[in-house]
Amino acid sequence: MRHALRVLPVVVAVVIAIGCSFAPSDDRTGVVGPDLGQFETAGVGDYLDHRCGSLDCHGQPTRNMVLWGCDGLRLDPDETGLVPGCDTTPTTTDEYEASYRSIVGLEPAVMTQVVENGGADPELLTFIRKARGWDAHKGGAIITPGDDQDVCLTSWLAGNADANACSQAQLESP
Amino acid sequence: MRVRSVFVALLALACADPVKNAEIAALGPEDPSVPRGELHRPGQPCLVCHDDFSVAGTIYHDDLSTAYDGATVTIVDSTGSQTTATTNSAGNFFVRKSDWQPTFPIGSFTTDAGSVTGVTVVGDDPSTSSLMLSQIGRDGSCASCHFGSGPSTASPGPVYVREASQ
Repeated sequence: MRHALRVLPVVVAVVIAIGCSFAPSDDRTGVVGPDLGQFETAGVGDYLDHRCGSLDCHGQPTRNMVLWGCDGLRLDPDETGLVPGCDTTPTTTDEYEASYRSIVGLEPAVMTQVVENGGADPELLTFIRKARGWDAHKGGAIITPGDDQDVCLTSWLAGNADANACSQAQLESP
Repeated sequence: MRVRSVFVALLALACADPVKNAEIAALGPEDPSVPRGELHRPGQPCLVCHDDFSVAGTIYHDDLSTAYDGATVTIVDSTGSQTTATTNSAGNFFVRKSDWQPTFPIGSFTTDAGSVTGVTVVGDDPSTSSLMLSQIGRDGSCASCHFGSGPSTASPGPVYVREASQ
């Protein structure tokens, strides 16, 4: 009995060590997503926030593919006072990452397939089909294959986000 | 008798949208001091009930609580088509579908006609205006997004006229 008590702390320490040694969540689920850095720096996230993330669309916390950013819903778990409006506080890195995960997490297996194939057949992804109006989409057909909005997304999926297209995509009339 | 049964059945079916019914119920009762009409329910999402409106809302002074009477609201849709409405003493304005129906989104775009701003609100001083730079995707009720007594993570707060001193 005394021996068991002496060994117990070692067993507990080993169990804790094993518990903390699991792979990061992305490794665990095996998702291959498009580049997170490009999502922020090439303007993919800004385009999506502006054109899709308004508070009456994907900026609603109850919707599928929730998007966060300065043009819509803010992500502010620490209650620092973030409010909608890009003239007050630009989209934060946490918000870019949350929106990225929201998109990649929609169809992780399909996303992996598209990204691993260099962005081929992006229409396999529901969010592309919906944006093109090929699947039912309450917001209607937002993009047309080949326009700046489409190029912004498909170039990002292909691994080389077109920053110019993403910038134009925010300004052009749909 | 049979006609009455059919009528009652149709009425029941017409009221059978639980989502819409819940939205309407969430608005609460009428203010007994304000008769039903264009002055009622300021700050609430008008289109929840008013299916015949395309765009409607309430404009305030920059204290975010005093109604702005006489503000001019100009709305331009994604095709460049535009309409204008003026707020009443409750700060309310509305555009009927029969007068104008926007092609969503309403936002700030570069169109064939040049740059457009989706929503502009001008008060007594024409040199000051409040511009909406983000986009309206599909909901014509201002208060669907502009709710609450002030800004929060999910709302910019009430729509207000920027006063000259700002």
